[in-house]
Amino acid sequence: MISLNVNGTQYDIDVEPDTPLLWAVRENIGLTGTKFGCGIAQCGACTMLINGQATRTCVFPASAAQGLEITTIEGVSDANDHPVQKAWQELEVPQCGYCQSGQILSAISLLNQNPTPSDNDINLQMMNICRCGTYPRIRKAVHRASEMWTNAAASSENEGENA
Amino acid sequence: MIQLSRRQFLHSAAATTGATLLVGCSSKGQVIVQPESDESVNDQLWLSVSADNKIQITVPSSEMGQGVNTSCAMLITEELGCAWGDITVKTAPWNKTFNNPMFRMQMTGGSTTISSYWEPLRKVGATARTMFTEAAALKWQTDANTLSVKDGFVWNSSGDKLSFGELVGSAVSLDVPEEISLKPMSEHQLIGQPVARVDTPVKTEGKADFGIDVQFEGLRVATIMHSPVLNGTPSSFDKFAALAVKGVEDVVVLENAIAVVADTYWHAKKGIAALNAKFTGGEQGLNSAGVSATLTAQLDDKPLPDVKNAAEVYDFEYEVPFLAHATLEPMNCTVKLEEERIDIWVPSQSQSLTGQIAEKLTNLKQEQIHVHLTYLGGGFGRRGEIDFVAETIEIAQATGKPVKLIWSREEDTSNDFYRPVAKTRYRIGVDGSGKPIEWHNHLASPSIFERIFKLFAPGFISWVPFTRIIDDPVAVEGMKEVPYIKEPEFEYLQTKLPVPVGFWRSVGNSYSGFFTESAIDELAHAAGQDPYEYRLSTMHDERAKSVLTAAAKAAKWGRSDVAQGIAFHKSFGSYVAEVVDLSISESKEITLHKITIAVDSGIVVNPDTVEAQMEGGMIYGLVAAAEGEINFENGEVVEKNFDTYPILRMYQTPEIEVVMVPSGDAPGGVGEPGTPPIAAALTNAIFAANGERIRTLPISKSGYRIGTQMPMA
Repeated sequence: MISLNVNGTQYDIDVEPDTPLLWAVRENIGLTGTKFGCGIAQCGACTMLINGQATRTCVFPASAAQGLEITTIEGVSDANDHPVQKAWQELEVPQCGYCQSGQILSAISLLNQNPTPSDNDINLQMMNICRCGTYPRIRKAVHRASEMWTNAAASSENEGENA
Repeated sequence: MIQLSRRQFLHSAAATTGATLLVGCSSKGQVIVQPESDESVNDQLWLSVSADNKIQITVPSSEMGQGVNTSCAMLITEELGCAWGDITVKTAPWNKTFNNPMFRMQMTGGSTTISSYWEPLRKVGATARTMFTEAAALKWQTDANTLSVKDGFVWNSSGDKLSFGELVGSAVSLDVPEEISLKPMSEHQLIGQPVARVDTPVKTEGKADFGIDVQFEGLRVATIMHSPVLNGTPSSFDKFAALAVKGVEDVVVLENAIAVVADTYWHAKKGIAALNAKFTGGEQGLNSAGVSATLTAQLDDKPLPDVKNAAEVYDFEYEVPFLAHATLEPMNCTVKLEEERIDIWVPSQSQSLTGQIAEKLTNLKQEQIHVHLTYLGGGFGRRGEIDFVAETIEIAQATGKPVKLIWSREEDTSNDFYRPVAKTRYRIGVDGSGKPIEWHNHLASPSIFERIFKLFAPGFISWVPFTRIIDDPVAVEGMKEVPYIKEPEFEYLQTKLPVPVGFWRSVGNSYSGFFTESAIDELAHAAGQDPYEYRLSTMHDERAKSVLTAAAKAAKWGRSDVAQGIAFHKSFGSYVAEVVDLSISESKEITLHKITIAVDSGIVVNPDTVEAQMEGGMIYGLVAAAEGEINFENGEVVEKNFDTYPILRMYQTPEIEVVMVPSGDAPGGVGEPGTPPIAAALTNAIFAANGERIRTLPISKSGYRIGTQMPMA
C-alpha cells in the first residue's frame, strides 16, 4: 500500500512502488485532470506540483511521493479562481485544453518562485508542449496572473497595515 | 455505473419538468418542432427549451479547440433571443439530421463548421423565436408585429412579458412557420463579438472530460502494440508472461497488433512489455531514401514540356516529408458492448463514421448504437479515422468486457495516417518584366482519396461526379489553381506507396502553400523585384491583394533591421498572408522576432476564435517547417516520441500579430487556413537573410534550428 497526500487528502492505494504518480492519481485515485501525453517527460501534460515544484509525474514513481505534498489541477482552487486560472479565462488561453492542466501547474510553480517573471523567465521555465499553439496567450496570461497576484498581495499587505 | 455529465443531467431534468419545446433541423435545412415524446426524437434535436427557460443547444460538430461549441451556440442564440447565460451546450449524437452538408455525413473537418451550419443554426433559432412570438400574440390577443424578443422573453408594447418557458406549452401546438426572417447583420448583438468560450472554465480546472478520461465501474483499460514494421503480423509472443503480470486479464491478437487488457493502463503497458512480441513480414524494404527516389522517378517519367515563347525559363523543384498529427491526447476509445446495445465514448471528428464501423463489426442497428463524443485533445484530421474505434470494438468483442483502449505516444506516432510526402517540379516562363506567362507544374504524391473512396463508398459515389473520381481533389488543392496565373498547366502524378496517408491540418494546402509561394518568391528575386510588390502586381483577386497588403503593412514590410519573408495562400474559403521577421546567426540559429498574419475569412462569428485559430494554425505549420519529418527505415517509423519528433516550445514562439481584414463575404474557414503560408514565409525570410534558398522541408535538414525568440522594437 502506498499513502499519498493529494490536494490535502490522504489516499491509501494498492499500487506497485514503481507505478508512475500520474497513473496512480488518474486511475487508482480517480483524479483525471492531469493528463498523459508522452510517457517520457517530454511534453509536461502530466505536470503536478510536488512540494510546490512542477514535476513531470509520468516518470516519477508513486512510492517516491509518499510524505510529500502533491497538488494537482483539481487542488489549485475551490472555485476555479486562482489568479492563474482567472488569467487563463480572461485571455481565453485554452483551445483543446488538453495541455492546460500542466501549463497551469507550471505557471503556478513559476510564480511561486518568481512572482514577477520577465518574458525570458517565462520562456525558460514554461517548457510544456501545446499542439494547438496557445503559447503566445500563455505568455500573456502568466504576466496577467502575476499582475493579479502582486495586486492581491499588495492589497492584503495594506489591510494588514490598517488593521 | 456511468456518471452522468452535467449536460446530460440537465436534459433529463427538462424531460421531467413538463412540456418542452424541441426543435430539430433536417439535413436539408427543414426545421422540425415537436413536443417531447419518446427518447428517439431526442437524437434529432438542435434546441430544447424547458419550462423554466433553460436552453440546451446541440452542436453538430466536435469541439477540438476550434471553439465550435461557442460559435454554433452564438448563431442559435442570436436568432432565438434568449439570454446567453441561460444556455448549455451538448455535442450531437449519431444522426443524419446533423450531417455536414458539405460532406453529406457527420464530419468535423475541412474548416467547414461555420460555413456549413451558418444557415441551419440561425434558422433553428429564428423558427423557435417566431413560434414563441406567435404563441405570445395569441395569448395577448394582439398582433405579432407589435411584439419584441429579448433575453428569453417576448415583450409587448405595454411592457408585459412572457418567458419562453411559459410559452412552450402553447408554442408546441402551432404550425411550424413556412417563412422565417433572419436578423440583418446590422442588428447582430452576439455574432461578431469576442464572446467568452463556454468550455474555457472546465478547461482551466481540469474538469473537461476527454476520451482518455472516461471512467466507470467495471471498465477495463487496454493498450496495444502494432507491428513496428508497417503491415507486419504477430509471429510470436509470450501470452502467459503477460497474463502473469498483476492486473492483466486478457491478451487479444488482432491482424497487425496485439492488445493487452488489464485493470489499469500501467498494468496493461507492463503486460505488453512482458509479451516480448515479435512480428514478421510487412514492408521491410520501405525506407525514406526509397520513397524519395520513387517520387523522383514518378516525375522523371513525365517530364515537363518545353517553354517556347518566354524571355526566361525557370525550373524549380521542391520536396516535403511525411508528417505526423501528434495530437497531445493519444488515440483512445471506450466501448461497452452488450447483447442489444453498444455505447462508444470517443474523441472523434465523426459520429457517423464511428457509428457505421460499429454497425459493420457488431451487426447492431443504428438505434442500438450510441455514440458519445467527448472533448478532443486535438484532432487535426487524425480523429476522422476509425482505426482505433474498430480495434476497441474488436477487443470488447473478444473479451466480453467494457474496455478503454489507450495508445502509447510511440504507437500514436508510428501508426498515423500521415500527411503525404510530396515532390514537385515547375517550369515557368516569364516575360520581359519577369512576370509568369507560362506555368507548368507536376506533383508526385500518394493519394489520400484512394483509401477514402473505399471507406466511404456507398454514400460517396452517390454525389461525387464521376470525373472527380479520376483525380484526388485534395492532392491538387492550391496547385491546380494559383493566384498568379490564370491557367497553370498542372498535372497530379499519383504515387503508389504503402504508407497510410490521411488528412493533416490543411491537407494538400500544407504543401501547395510552400510550393507555390517558394516558386513565386524565386521568380520575384530572379526579376530583381521586391517579393511583396511582385506578388501584389501579379495576383488578380482583390481579396487576396487586400490581405497581402494588410500583412505587409502591419509587418512594416521593407524594414531594414530584420530579414523578412512573405507568403499568401487561399484555402477553405479564406485568404491568409503571413510575414516572418527573423535574423540568423553564423551557426544557422534562427531568432524569430515577429510573425504577422492577415486574414479575410468572410463574415466572422467570434473574432477571438478567429485570432486564436490563426495563431494556432500558423504555429502548427511552423513546427512542421522547422523540424517535422517522419522517416521510414526497414519499414519502421523512425520518429516515435517527442524526443525524436520534436515540437516547438514557447521560448521559440515569437510575438504574433493577427490582423483581421473585414469582409462581408460568406463565412470561410479558420481552423486550417493559418497553416499553409508559414513554411514559405519562413524559407523566404531565410533567403532574404542570407541568400540560401531552401527547397526541402524541414529546415533542420539544412542545418537550421529555431532558437529563443526575441521581439524587436
